[in-house]
Amino acid sequence: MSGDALLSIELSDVGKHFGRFQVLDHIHLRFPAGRLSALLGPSGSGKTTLLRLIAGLESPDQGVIRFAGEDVSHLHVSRRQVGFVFQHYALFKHMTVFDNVAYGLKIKPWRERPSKPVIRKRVMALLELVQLAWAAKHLPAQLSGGQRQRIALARALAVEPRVLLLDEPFGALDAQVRAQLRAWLKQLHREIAVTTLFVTHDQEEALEISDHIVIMNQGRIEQSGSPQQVYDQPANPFVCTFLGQAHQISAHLRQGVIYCGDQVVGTAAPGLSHEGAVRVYIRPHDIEVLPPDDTRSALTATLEQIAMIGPYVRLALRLHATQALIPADMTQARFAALHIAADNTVQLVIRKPHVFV
Amino acid sequence: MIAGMIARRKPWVRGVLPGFGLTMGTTLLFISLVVLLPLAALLSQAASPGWAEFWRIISSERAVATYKLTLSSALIASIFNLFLGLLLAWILTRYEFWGRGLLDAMVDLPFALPTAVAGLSLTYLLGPNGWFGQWLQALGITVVYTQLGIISAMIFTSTPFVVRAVQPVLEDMDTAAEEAAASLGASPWQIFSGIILPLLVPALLAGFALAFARSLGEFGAIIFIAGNLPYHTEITALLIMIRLEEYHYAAAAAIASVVLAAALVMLFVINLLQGWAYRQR
Repeated sequence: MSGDALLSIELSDVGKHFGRFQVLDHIHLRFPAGRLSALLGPSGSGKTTLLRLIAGLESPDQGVIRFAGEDVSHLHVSRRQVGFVFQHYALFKHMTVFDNVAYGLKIKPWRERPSKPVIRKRVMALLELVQLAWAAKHLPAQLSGGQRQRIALARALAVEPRVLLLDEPFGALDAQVRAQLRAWLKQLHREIAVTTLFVTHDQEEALEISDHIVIMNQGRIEQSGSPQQVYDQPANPFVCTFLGQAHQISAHLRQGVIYCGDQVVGTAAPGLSHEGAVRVYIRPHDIEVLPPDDTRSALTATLEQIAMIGPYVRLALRLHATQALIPADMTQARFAALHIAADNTVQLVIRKPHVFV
Repeated sequence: MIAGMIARRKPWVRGVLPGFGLTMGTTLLFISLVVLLPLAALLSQAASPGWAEFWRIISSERAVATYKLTLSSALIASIFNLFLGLLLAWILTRYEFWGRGLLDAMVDLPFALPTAVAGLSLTYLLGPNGWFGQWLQALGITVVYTQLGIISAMIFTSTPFVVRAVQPVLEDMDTAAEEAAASLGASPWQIFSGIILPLLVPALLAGFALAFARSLGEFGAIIFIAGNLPYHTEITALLIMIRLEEYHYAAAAAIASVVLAAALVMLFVINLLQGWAYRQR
């Protein structure tokens, strides 16, 4: 949609506090041009504030924000050419859907303002894009939440923004609509290819649709990278536990081998030269359960509980070495093939232990 | 309206709380005693001398002069209060400042103050030797004993109506819509006129109607400052008072019924406008 060259967003040493509370603490970040990036974090992590700083709805106490190299830190929101989509839609409820989408075009100074037929054509094209052309004459109150959010998106796109910013865009919608809109947003982004940032606290949403994820916690950046990267190589325990489930066991490291008690869990990544106590995080689906007579593993546990959860089975396992209880997931078929029952002793292979000092 | 309420609450559909019959009955009784009965008495009193006499009284030159003065003053005062009230409500909802609570409480002062006290202090302030009056006098503006005085008294007593009508709407307003407009490139004036003001129209109309009705009936604050010169600065309420003092009850009631009709027409028109404004949303 935007004819301009794609633009990256850079933040250097950006800080912001409200009263005494440090909301953002020395943020250095770069969002790649033309990509769909997610700002992910628990509530209170500063992700929405960061998005509002980029939009110009808040101003930073320190640091510089650049759009494609141009310093926009002190540019007013109305001059920044950003499209902003709010969690609760923020539609103009006294205007029809058509007038909502046309608003950004109609208020331009007359020199830049397109003619009425051009505005009409562009608004209708956008309403087609969000599949709501039939609702042009409706008022926002007559539409469902998902439809309203699509109108809000069309309104933001009407002025051909240089970047598109979405603040928990699907947060107020129910699960089914949310899933539909996610897929639709991903598709839409492929068509318009504007640099897009969206804020979410839902890790699944971030992993599913983004090209790039920034994980925030307490006003700091914990990690940023591709979804694959942050999931497979979490930089710290916070990222590891925030992105999907992971359970901690205490262990120690001796010459690159991880021991839990005196049983071997696996080998650490080659770079880790630490000796002594470490925390190991294990995801439920990274545990391979073997029958008791298997000899490939030295790590043993007692099967305490079996729960059938839809298509998969969750086992609660008590490690013999530390008496820690950890969960393991597997398919129904795999579980049936094991021929094990509660109170059996099993052997475990940990496919991908995440080790943190 | 009442029929609708009764119809909606069918006797066999019991709500959680009982007592519809008792509460509705009490309400109707009090409305009859306090509102309908006095109005009926007024109308019957006004009609007692016969149609020709009634018309002669209400269309007398002196009476017509009071209508013109009262209506035009109330209109000007209410329009002024539309702006002042919006400004006050805006300040009270949009900004954090020291003494906001105090200012908020002071808005209600014209409600609490006996109107005679208001009239006296206004007369003192705006009189030829008063704090403001002496400066206005120097500029050639006389407030006391002119229509300007009547208008200032009306403004003083009816300001809270607009403020209290607009304030809750402004408080509930979602600022995200304004931020959205700003991100689309709107200037502050475009945001105010295109996004905020349309949503305030019903509340402004309601406040205007109440302020206008109050100004039509204002008496105490005005008589001190108006001078009460027949044909020039005599308001309708005062003429009614004068007729009463002359024991000419029919004439008083006849003139009062004109004020009543004006107030009813006003409320009706404002209600229509409000209905229209709500449908625009």
